[in-house]
Amino acid sequence: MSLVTFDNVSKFFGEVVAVKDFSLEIHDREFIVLLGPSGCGKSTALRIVAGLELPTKGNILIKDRVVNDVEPKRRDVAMVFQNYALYPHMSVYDNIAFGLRMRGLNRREIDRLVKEAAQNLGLLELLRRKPGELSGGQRQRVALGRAIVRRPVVYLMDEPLSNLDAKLRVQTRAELIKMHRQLQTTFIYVTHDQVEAMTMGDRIAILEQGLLQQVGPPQEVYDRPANIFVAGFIGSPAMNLFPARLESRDGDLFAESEVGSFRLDAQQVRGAMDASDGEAVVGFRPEHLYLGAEGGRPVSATIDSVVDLVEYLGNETHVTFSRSDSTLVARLDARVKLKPGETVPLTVLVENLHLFDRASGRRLG
Amino acid sequence: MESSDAATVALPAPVPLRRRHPWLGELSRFGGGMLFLAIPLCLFGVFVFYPLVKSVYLGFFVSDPFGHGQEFVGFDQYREVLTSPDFRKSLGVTVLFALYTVPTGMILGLVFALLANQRLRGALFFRTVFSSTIAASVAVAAVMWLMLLNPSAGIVNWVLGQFDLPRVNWLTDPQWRQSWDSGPALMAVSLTTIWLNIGFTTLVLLAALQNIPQELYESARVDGASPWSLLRHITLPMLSPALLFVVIVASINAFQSFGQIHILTRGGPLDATNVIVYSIYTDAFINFEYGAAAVRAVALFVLVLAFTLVQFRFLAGKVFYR
Amino acid sequence: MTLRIRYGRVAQVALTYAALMLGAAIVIFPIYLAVVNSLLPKEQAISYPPKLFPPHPQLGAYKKAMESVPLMRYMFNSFAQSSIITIGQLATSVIAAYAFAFMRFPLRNFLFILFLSTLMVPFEASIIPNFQTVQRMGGVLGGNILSLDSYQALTIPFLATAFGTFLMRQHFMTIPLELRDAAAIDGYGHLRFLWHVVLPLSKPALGTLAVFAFLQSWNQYLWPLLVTNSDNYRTVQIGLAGLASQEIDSINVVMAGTVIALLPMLIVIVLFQRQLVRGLMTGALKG
Repeated sequence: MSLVTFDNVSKFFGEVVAVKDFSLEIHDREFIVLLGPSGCGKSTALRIVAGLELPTKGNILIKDRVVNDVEPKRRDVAMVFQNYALYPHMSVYDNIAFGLRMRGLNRREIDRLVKEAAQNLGLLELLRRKPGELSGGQRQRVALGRAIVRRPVVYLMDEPLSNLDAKLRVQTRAELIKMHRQLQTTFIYVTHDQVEAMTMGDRIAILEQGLLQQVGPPQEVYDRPANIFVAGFIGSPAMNLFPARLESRDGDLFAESEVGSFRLDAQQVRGAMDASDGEAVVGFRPEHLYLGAEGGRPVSATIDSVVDLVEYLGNETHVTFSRSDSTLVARLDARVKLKPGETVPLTVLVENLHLFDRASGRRLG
Repeated sequence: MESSDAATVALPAPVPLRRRHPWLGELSRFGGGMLFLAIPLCLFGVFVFYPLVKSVYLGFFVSDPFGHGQEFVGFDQYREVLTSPDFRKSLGVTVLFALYTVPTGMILGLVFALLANQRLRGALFFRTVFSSTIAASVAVAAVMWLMLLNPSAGIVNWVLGQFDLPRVNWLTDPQWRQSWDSGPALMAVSLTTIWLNIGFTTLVLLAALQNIPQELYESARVDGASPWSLLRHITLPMLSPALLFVVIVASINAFQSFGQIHILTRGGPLDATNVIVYSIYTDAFINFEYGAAAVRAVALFVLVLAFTLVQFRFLAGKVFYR
Repeated sequence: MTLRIRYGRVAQVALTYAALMLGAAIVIFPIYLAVVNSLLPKEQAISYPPKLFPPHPQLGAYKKAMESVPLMRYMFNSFAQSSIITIGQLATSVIAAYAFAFMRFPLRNFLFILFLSTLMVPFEASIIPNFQTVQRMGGVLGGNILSLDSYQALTIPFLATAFGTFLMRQHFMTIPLELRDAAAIDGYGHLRFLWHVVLPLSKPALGTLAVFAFLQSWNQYLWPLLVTNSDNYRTVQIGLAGLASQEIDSINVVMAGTVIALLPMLIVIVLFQRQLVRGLMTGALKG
C-alpha cells in the first residue's frame, strides 16, 4: 500500500501554475525528499498533502483514501514549518501539548507523551520556557517535538534546516535520519539543498516549475539524470553541459560541440536516432574529467584546454579550464599542480558521457 | 601567516588627550541637545506642566467672577467640592459613560476587524467603510446623531417603532421610565461616542490581526484546532497588546469627552450627562468659579492617571508581548 | 473539489458577506442619512417616516447653510488652524526626535521620559490655566501677539507633541548610525545631515504624523469653543454647532453643513489610509 499518492495533481493560483500533472506514489516508511529551486512547487505539493491547499485538479490520497475534502486536522499528518510556527505566547510544554489537547486526550496522558518527546529531544529543562527565550536549534527541536508527539502517519517537513547555521545543520541532519529510523514512519521532506536531499532521502523527487522532473534513489538521480535540468541541478560543482550537433562520420555517430567531438555509446546512438532532430546537449561531471587515459577504458573525447583558475581545497583541487570560449570545471586530485595558462589534454570516457535532446531536455540513452 | 612576531614589536604608549575642563565636553553636548529641544520643552512647560501646578494652586482660592483668585481658603475648597453630591454625581456619570463606551467599542471593533480580515474581494472597501468614523469629529458626529435621535422623526425611534418598542426621548429624559440610574440621555451620548470610536478601534485591531503570522494558524489547523480554538488560543493572545492599547485610548477618550455632550445635552437633563470635563467647563466659563473648576480639573487629572496606571498594571500582565 | 465542500465554502463566504454588509450599513448610516437629508427640501427632511432616498435631490440646503453662517470662512479658519498646527508639529517633532535619536547628551533619557509624561496629562484638565495664559499674554507682550480670538490662540498650545516626537524618534532609530558617521566624515553638521539625509529617508513617517496632526486639529472642539468669539476666527466645528442650533427647524440645512464639515476629513482618510494605519500601529506596538 502506498502511503501518500499524488494522482495527477495540479494546482493553479489564478494564472500562476504551482504544480502541474504531478503524480507520485510515496511508500510507507519511506524518507522521500521533494527537491527543487525556489518556486518549483515543492512546498505547494507538501501543503496539498497537509490539506492547507486544495488541488485544482487531480486527487491526493492518504492510505489509499481520497482526502481532497478532508480537513487538515482529520488527516493525521504532522507538519514542521520552515520558521517553526511555534506559538510565541505558550511555553514549550504547551506548544508540544497543543495538538494533543485539541484531540481531547486526558491530562495525564498528555503529560506522559509530552515529557517522553521532550526527553528524546533533550528539551526537558526547557519545558517552562517560551519560544522567544530559545535558540534557533532549540526552537527547531520544539517544532519536531510537536510533530512527533502526535504519532501521525506521515511527517511533513518544509525546509526545516534552512534557518540553522552550517554546523547545526549538519548535526541536525544526522539526527533527523536517526529519528526516521526510530520512528519507522513516512517522512516527506522539502528542500532546495541538494546535499540534504542526497544524504537523507531514500528517494528524491525533483521538481521544477511545477513539473516532476525525475524521481528515484539518490544514486540513480546522480548517475542517470533524466533531463538537462536534473543533470545541472544535482552535483556540485555542476555538470559541464554543452550544446552539440549529432553527425555521422565513418559510420559512427558523434556529438560535435564547441569543446570537442564526442563519441557516443550504442544506447545513446539508438536514443539519438529515435528521438532528436540532431540537436543535442552533452554533459560530463567535473570528477569525470581526467588528465590522461584511465586504464584504457574507451575515450569519448580528448579536450585540449587552457588552465584558467586553480582552487585548492585541501582534499581536492577544482580547476577551471577554457576551450574556445567555453568553460570546463574539473575536480582533480589534490596533488595535481597546474598553473594558469598551461594547456592540458582532458579526457572524457564514453561511460561517463551524458547525452540529452536539446529541444526536450530528455536523456538519450 | 606569521604568528608570534607581534609580541616583539612594542607599540608606543597612547598619548592622553589633554582636557583642562573634563566636563566642558559634557556641557557643550548638553547645550547642543537643549538647543534642539528648547522649543518643545518651552511649549510643554507653558501649556502642560505649568497648568497642572497652576490648577492645583487655583484650587486654593475662591474666585470672583473676574477670574482673579480672591480669597485663600486652603484645602477647604478641595474638601467642599470633592465631597459635594454633584461632584460625586459627575464622577458616577463619567465612570458609567466609560463603562458604556469602552467595552462595547472594543468588542464591536474586534468583530468588524475579524470580518474585514477575511480574504474576500472588497475587503478593502469594507475596511474603508468601517474606519470612516475616524474622519468624523465630535461635532459632526453629535450633530448627525442629534438628527437620528430626534424623538419624533429620528430614525432610531422609527426603528424602535417597527419592533413595537416604545419611543424614547433620547436627549431629554434623564431616566428610563423604570428609573434606572442611567438614562436615555447618557445612552444617547454613549451611542454617539461608540460610533465615533468604531473607526479607530477597527483600524488598529485589523492592522494587528494582519500582523499575526499565517503559519501559526496553519500549524494549529494541522494540529487539529477548531475555528473557536483558533480564536481563543491564537488570535486573542496575539492581539492582546493591541487590545490593551485600544482599551486605554478609549478610556482616556471617554474621560475627556466634551464636544458631543455640549452639543447633544449640555450636560443635562438634570446632570444625567454631566461628566467631569463638562462640569469643569460649566464652573469655569459659565459660572466663572475658577477655583472650583480647578479642583475638578485636578481631580480629573488624578482620575485619568490612576485609571491608566491601574489598567496598565492589571492588564499588562495578561498581555503577551513578542 | 466535491460538491459538499464547495457548498460549505459558499455558505461560509455568503454569511461573511452578509455580516460585513450589515456592519457596514450600521457604521455608515449616520453619514448616509446626513447626505440624504442634505439633499432634501425643507419639508421632506426629518419627515416621518424617515426618507431613505431623495426623490428629487437639490442643493438648496447647501446654499442656505453657507448663507446662514459664514461656513466658508469657518472652513478657511479650520484649514488655517490645522495647517499651522501640522507644520508646527512636524517641525518640533522632527527636531526633538533628531536630538533624541542622534545626539548624545546628559539627561537625554530623563528628558525623553519627561516628554512622554506629557501624554499623561489630559488637555481638558489644563484648560483653565491655558485659557488664562492665552488671555493675559496678549497684554503682557503688548498688542495681539497672543490673545484670544486669533490664529495664535488656536494653534500655539499645540505646536509641540510628545506623540509626534515619539513617532519620529522610532523612525529615526531605524536609520543606521553608520550614515551619521559617514556624513560626519563628509563634513555634514547636524542640521545638514538632518535636512539632506534623515528627512528624505523619513517621508512615510512624516506623512503619517502630518495626517494625524491635521485630523486631530481639524476635529478639535473644546479649545476653539473657548478661545474664539468672532466669526473671523471661529472654526468649522464650532460653526457647525452654531448652525445646528440656529437652523433647528431646517434639518436639511444642518445636514448640509455637516456634510461640508465632514467631507475634507473623509477625503483625507480615504487617500491616506496607509499612513493612518501605520501611525496607529506605532502606538499599538509600543503599548
